[in-house]
Amino acid sequence: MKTKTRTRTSSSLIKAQELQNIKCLLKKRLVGKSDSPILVGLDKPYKTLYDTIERTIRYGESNSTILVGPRGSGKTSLVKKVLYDLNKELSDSYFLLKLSGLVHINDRVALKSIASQLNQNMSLEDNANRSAAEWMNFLISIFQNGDKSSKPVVFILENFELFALQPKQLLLYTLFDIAQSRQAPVVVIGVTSRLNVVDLLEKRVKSRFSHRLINVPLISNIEEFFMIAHNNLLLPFNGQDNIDPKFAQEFNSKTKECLFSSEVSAVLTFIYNLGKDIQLMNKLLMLAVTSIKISNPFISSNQLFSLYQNLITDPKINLLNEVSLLELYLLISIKSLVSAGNIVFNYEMIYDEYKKMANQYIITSTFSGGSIKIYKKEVAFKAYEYLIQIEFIQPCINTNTISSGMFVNDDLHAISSRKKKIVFGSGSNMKEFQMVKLLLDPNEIVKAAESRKDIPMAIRRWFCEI
Amino acid sequence: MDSINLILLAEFPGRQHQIELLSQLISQPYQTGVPFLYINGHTATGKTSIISRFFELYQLEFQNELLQTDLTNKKKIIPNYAIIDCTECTSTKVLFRKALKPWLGLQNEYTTKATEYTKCDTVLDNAEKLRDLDALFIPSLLQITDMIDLSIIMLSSTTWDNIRPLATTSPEPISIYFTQYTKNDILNILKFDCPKDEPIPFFCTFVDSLHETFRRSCIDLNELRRIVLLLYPKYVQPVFEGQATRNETARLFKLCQPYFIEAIDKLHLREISSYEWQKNSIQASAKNDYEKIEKSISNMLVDTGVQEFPYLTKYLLISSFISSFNPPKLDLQYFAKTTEKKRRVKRGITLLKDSRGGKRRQQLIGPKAFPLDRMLAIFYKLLDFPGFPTIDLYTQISSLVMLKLLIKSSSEESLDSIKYKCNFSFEFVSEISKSVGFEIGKFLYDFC
Repeated sequence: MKTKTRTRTSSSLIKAQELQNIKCLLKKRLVGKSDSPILVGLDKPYKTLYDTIERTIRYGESNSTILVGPRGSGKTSLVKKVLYDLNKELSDSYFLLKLSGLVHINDRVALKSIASQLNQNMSLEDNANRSAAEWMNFLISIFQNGDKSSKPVVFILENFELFALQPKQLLLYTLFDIAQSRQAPVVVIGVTSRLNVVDLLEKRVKSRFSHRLINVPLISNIEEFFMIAHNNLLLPFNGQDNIDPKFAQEFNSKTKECLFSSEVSAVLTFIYNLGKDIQLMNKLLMLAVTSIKISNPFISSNQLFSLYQNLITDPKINLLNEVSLLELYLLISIKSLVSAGNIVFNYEMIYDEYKKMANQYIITSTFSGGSIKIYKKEVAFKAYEYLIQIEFIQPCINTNTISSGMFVNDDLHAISSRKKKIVFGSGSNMKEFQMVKLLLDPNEIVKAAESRKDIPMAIRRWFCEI
Repeated sequence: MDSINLILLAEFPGRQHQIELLSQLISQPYQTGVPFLYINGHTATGKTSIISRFFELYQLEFQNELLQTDLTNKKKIIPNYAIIDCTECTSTKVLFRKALKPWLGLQNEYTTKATEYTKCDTVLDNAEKLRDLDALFIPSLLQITDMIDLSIIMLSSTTWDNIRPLATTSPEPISIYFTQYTKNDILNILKFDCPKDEPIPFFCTFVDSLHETFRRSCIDLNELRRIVLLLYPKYVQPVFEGQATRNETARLFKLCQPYFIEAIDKLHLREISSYEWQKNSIQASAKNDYEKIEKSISNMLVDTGVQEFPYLTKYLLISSFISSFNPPKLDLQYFAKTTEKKRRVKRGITLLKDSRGGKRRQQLIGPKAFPLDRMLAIFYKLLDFPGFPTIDLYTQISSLVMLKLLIKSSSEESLDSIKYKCNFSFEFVSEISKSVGFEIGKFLYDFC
């Protein structure tokens, strides 16, 4: 066995270890973990951000900025790239503090993290048991003692809008206050996808903010979209990262050929039109990269196309196509109820509808042949519970809850109040009478039923009628 | 990685595509893997078992590799994993503790930076339960993958659309879909369950026909396995008793048929425990005729306790059922004396015509709350025995509330104005009325 694989590897274009390296490099880029991401079409925001940070580091000018741009526009990559480029010239001449609104959910956690990130560089004495107020005092004292000549600090606040949703916005107030009062040189950079983020700031916080917004736009044309795909898969051919330049060149030309082939370019155009969704594209390319094999170490258009077909199939439809026959009967009954104008319904209604359908069929069965079994109520109920488990239907209290299901992002309390979900069978009432609603498109049920081969003729006729 | 693949393919028939995809996506431990995987599919399609076996093998392989190469080379990383069932995690604290356990166990030091030596992939089973923890929990959990190199793998039977947090944006997963097993796959898997001293082809014909009878209502592999385990002894019993040989499959099936029919629903619903089934079914031999078998199985059912209610309490239950499901308007029609009934009957009929057969009838919508007075009035009418001492009835009612057969549906102000709701099914009440010789069907409006 072993000799066989060895001969194959030596005869092929590339060694296994080398291919692993290449895959790793490409994956890193596609996941967004590369240290120096490739930016496309972001020259202007790049320059502005670079200047802002550079001025703070070089000349001690405090500042505050917020990067605003929709999801997938490259905000995080932009920050990464700027910091990477800054590090080339100005490494060790500033402190970098990264906070995220998702992780640092309150002042205490955030301040502790700030102190510990500073601690790594400054070797302060370790004080584990402090209260939030003490941390705050400690932090303010550090910055107050500094002047223009002290080492500048760069704050990066990811998910900035969540900091603004915290009560009293104490952390933002403190940071902006330090930035404005020009004690120690500090630059605060918020990153958010919320366009009206400034409106969230309280008056006292707003007045301390410099009102500099850097707009990170989505890519503006399809050429840029292709460019991103191409750049993400581009291998360095100058011998960097121990990659054989010959292989790199061949890989690059094959990739180019693949990306601009008619099939793949149609796919990419579709993704672009759908939502300029770079993440979806990266996901596709990621799948392609992981499936590269040593026997054929290139990306082919056929493969990319079939991966794409898998990627865009709705998983719900997959689930729907594979339910058991009894579950499908129940779903068709639900569809019939929905068509009759019931928005919510309970198990008794569904079972009644199912029984009606089955009884009708007993009369007509002499003409069409075959038989449909009426399952016992309890057996059908088990199938019904399974439908709830895979969330094709969902319990609800009454019709009012459906319309008020809209959910507002403005308040952390509003977000957490969504937690109060209705659990099936939690109340004292009987499960059979608990109202549920359908979470599927009713037409999909018909489609799934039509594609089934093992379904009796009468059912087919029945769902054609409804 | 290839050796892992081979082992998995042998152990899990019919999962070739999924296993290949999985080993492609979860790469070598020192490489960047896919940060976020989402695995979904119906229950009993091998999601949890394949993932846990995969990681077991995965860890073993790289541990062996580490032992073979010289130990001074610190770049080698031992992959580690944590499989967490989210149903067990009532708070985030519990979840994090479980996730960190394998890490700490390997290093015994809290202070060292964990990222330097190990990578710990985290598998979250029943991921839909994560929604209950905190609205922002899922996006913040996924942030971890930005900071350190690990994969978060979620397993769930619902789709990502239902779990995706609405509050903020979060990374989109790469998903693997576990398809339902085909019939051949199921037969191949059930082959593993064949008892040691039984011939496999013989066992297979049994499994095949069982699958045929069952596939319409249930394609859950776990259920099938359980039923095979319980019914197979019945199927081979005639062979040992000398009634049939192994070649006479048709005869064997005929002998086993009553058990199939009777037991399938009951076993499926877990009305009989498997222990009881095994104990009792051996006594009831295949020689007996169908009725006896049916009896022996139905005897195994747990008593509902209906028989133990006192006579009058049964009437209390019946009258509360009637008052929960009948509209109060029609009480006169059902319970008034004959002369009054005649006078009112016209109005009654028009009312009946309006709503019969609709999906909004009370039988389907569920019980309505009724005032106690109304129920007691019906109760007296049914017994035709006015002037009953009510004091004992109240204790009975409160004990029925304790049993959750009746539910209080108003605040506790005074005992008289409380409203109640019945909390049992039509099947239950018809059993009760049968036991006292009362025809409840006559008194119910719009039932079918």
